[in-house]
Amino acid sequence: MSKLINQPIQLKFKGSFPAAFSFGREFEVKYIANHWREGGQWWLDEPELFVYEVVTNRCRCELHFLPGLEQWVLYRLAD
Amino acid sequence: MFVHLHVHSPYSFLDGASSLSALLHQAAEWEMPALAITDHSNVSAAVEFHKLAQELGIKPIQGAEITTEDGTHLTLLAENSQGYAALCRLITAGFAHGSRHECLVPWEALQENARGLIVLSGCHRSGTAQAILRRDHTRAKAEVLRLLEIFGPGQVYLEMIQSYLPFSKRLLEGIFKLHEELRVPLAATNNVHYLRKEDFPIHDLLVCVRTQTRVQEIHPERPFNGENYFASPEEMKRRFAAFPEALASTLEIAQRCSPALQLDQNLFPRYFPDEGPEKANQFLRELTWQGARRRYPSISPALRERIEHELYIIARLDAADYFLAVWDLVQYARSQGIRYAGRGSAADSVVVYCLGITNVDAFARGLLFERFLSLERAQKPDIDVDFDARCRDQVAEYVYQRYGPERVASVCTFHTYHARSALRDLGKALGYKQEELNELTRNITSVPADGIRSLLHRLPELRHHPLHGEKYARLVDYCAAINAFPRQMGTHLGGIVVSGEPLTKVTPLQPSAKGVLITQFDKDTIGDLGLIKIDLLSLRTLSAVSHAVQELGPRLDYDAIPLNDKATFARLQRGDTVGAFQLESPAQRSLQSRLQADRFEDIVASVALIRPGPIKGNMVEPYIARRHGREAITYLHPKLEKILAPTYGVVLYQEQVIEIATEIAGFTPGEADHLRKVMTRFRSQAEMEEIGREFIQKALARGVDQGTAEEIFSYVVGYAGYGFCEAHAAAFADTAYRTTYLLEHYPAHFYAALLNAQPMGFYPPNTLCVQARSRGIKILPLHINESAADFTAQDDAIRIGLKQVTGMEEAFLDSILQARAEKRFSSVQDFVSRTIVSKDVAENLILGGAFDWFSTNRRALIWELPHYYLNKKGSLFADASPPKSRIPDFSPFERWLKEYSVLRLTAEGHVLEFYRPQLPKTVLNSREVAALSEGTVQMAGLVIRPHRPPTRSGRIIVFLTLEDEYGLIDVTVFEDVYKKYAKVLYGSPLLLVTGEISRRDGAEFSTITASRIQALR
Repeated sequence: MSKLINQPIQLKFKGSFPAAFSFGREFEVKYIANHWREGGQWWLDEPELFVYEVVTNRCRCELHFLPGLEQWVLYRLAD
Repeated sequence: MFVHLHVHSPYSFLDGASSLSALLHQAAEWEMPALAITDHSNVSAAVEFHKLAQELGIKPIQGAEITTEDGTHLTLLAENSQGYAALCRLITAGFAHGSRHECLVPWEALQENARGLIVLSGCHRSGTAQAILRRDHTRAKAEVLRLLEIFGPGQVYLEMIQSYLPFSKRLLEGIFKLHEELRVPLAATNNVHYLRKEDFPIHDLLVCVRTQTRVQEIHPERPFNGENYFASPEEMKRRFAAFPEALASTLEIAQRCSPALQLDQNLFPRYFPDEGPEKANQFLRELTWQGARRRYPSISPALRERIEHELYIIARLDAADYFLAVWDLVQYARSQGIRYAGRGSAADSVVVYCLGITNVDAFARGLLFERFLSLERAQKPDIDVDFDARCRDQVAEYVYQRYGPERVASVCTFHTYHARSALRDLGKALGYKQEELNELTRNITSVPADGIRSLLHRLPELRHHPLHGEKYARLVDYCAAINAFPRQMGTHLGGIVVSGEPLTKVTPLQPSAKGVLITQFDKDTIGDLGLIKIDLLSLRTLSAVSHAVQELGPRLDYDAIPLNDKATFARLQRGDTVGAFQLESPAQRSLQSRLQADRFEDIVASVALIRPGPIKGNMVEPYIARRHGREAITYLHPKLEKILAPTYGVVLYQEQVIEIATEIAGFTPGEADHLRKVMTRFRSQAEMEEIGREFIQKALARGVDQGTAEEIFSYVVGYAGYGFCEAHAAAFADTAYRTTYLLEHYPAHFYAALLNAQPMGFYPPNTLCVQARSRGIKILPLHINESAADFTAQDDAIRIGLKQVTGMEEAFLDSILQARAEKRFSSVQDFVSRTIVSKDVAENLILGGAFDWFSTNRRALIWELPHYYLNKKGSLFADASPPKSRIPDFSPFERWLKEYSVLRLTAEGHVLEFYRPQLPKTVLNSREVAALSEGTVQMAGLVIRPHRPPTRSGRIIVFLTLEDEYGLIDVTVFEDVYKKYAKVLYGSPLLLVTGEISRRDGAEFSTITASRIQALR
């Protein structure tokens, strides 16, 4: 099961790697399971998107980073 | 250091978004020692890539990304020329196994052609990657083992691509696991499709064009992100930090590969296969002298010297076999009664004339052989021959049979992006609707795709064009980015290559739409591979000539037409040459009349004069004035007199430019030919300036003063654009004169022949009919019992042929002719019952007047037609007798319009006749206008062929022809008037033009210089 969140978050880093974030509770990143980049709808001036699938102490999460806006988003939570 | 080994150029056809030049210059900037180009299933970029890479000090590695028969991808790199030939054979095999649109290489072919190839396991669409992504490690391993078995250890590398896709991590891990297990080395690539990250939208758009999707739509082949760019070595180092050996391998592979192309070899077949070149040289010599004795009443020492000189050069260039091959095929044409005419610079050769390939006496004309062939340039000869269009394929078939299908192929062409095609394709991909695209491309002329903005600012009719809007700014930029990119491959109209060895040694072959095999190199690059092109061109004029000659039978000996026929020259002097080859455009007709052409040389000059080069170089007016002695003929330097005297001191032909460069500046033939090329192509101002400096410097050294040298060069520059070769002009002039002769003496037969050879020429069929009628030739209507398949001529009449009817298929025509041979048709019902003609075409026959003899009420016949078809089917709803129709016929105008719509011409009447009664008496017809020599007039007519040729000043002048029921009048529209009326001019089929009568130089030819243009509604 997964749940769409799509809410901005403040991400803490350890070096250049995502380490932890808060969303109601504290989520501690254990490791990055996958990472990819999406082109976005460039014809609508949508920026490129970096996606991180991370495994935290609570669940698997999909984090989005919008390089143009320097914004991190908790996009999805999964079992 | 790192080398890109998987790179797509624009020759990946809508899957490569950066030019070869851009990619190579970037590689040079990053000091990459080598680069590979791996386009999809082709090596079309190979020659251009090889040459530019060598120039930039980069080792070119030829390769291709192929698709195997099971749909998986592999990246192949040619280690050497053996590998390149294997690649060519594999791609050919792929097209043979797949289809015209899909190259699917069988594994068996890979097994047979593996030597000299290095294989990278491929992108995510490879068999290995697909298995890894399915988590089928066993299958992935089997795929790699299969490659090892086919290509051998040391030839296989596991390709790693880090494009940051959702599956990249798994894929890289899987490949690394295979590497560890099988000890197969890794190789990093970036599967490059464009130069910079910011070029990603262009690539995405091209993929949308290819997959026929819009950007808003999803398609599995669309790129997921913009990571497949030409990443720098540093960036690749970052991406492959965990796999440094994958980066190192790229250098190792580059070191192992050597440039695979061997340029400038001679692959042309020997005429005597088991003999050395001497035998061919000897045979050519014999044939030439035989021909010389036939062509010339006596052989002067000068002629002997000229022929020997040519034979010597041909032998030195090892080109005798080529001349013999062309001689052989025109012999075949002659034996089959196929009309042909050699053209182009080959007509500069006396040998070619003696062999009967051309009809131009290069010796008598003093033509320069070096324009065609020279030792210094050592280029491949190129002989173009026009054939009767109906028989061109028969001649080509002979060549295939003569040399074997594996050694003959047609040359490909690349359809490249220009403004209109780029706007249409990219606009569609961006989601614009058809109507919007029609608006966006309206009045956008044939300019490069990067010239749209300048066109928008230059042309007054584009002042309010939607492309000025901010909404389309990006579209215009995207179009500029793909300028001249190849969109698809096509077949050259006439070019075929013949090889002494299987062609697949140097080029893959693939099927064309026409069914013939084509090379993957076009006419500009094929010669570099050692192949020589023979141009077997189709010329519909020759079809028309053949048709007329056949119809006239013994009444005419075309080849014996006298070249000094007074009536023919009188026709030229009147400018009454609609239908004559090369002499029928308004500009040519006006020139003929002003020039008062009275000798063959005038026609040769005319053919060369009405070209962008001489027009821009302001040579037309001085030529006419000097020809008539109204302007003194002066020469800037005494040495120019000998060269320019035949053209009254005007630089008219390419041969003269070569001679000027040789005489004045002491250029070698090679340097002079380079000057000719720079001039005629005129692609770069800097290049022209550089050669100008060289010309002046060398002229100074030979004692010519600075001012004179500069002025002479300015003449040469003025000629830049599209210079014409005298030999070519003379070859065309021969056909031009003879067709004018036919127009003069056998108008009905020749107009009928022209109508049968359509589409061809400057004017549409209806205009030819108007012209014929103006000469008293009756156009007889379509008649189901009288019309033949083609137009047929009697002495003073032309009967419209059945083929002219829209939709008339061969089977329908056969069925009509067969049924009619048994018994003439007695009614429409009889026609329907005894033929297989479809109802639509039967309706077109009625509208075209084919049943007027039965009933003149065409509307009633059409009303009855469905009944006859129901009867034929035996329908229950059918009735034995037709419905009693008392419906009125079409109005005369409707009747005319419908006849025109199904025949593209009418037997009687002209659209203007319907407007004439409403026009004021002050509006004159073409006959009245033609009789005037001055004054202001108003004339109404159908607009024919408005066009905007280049002018010396760069200002716009539009030429058009107004056609009415009596004939044609040409109209000139200067820029000020054009700016006011551009929209009307290009928006309305019928115009009312007010203007001044113009008769320049007392010509027998009145034109109107427009001052006001109105639409006729």
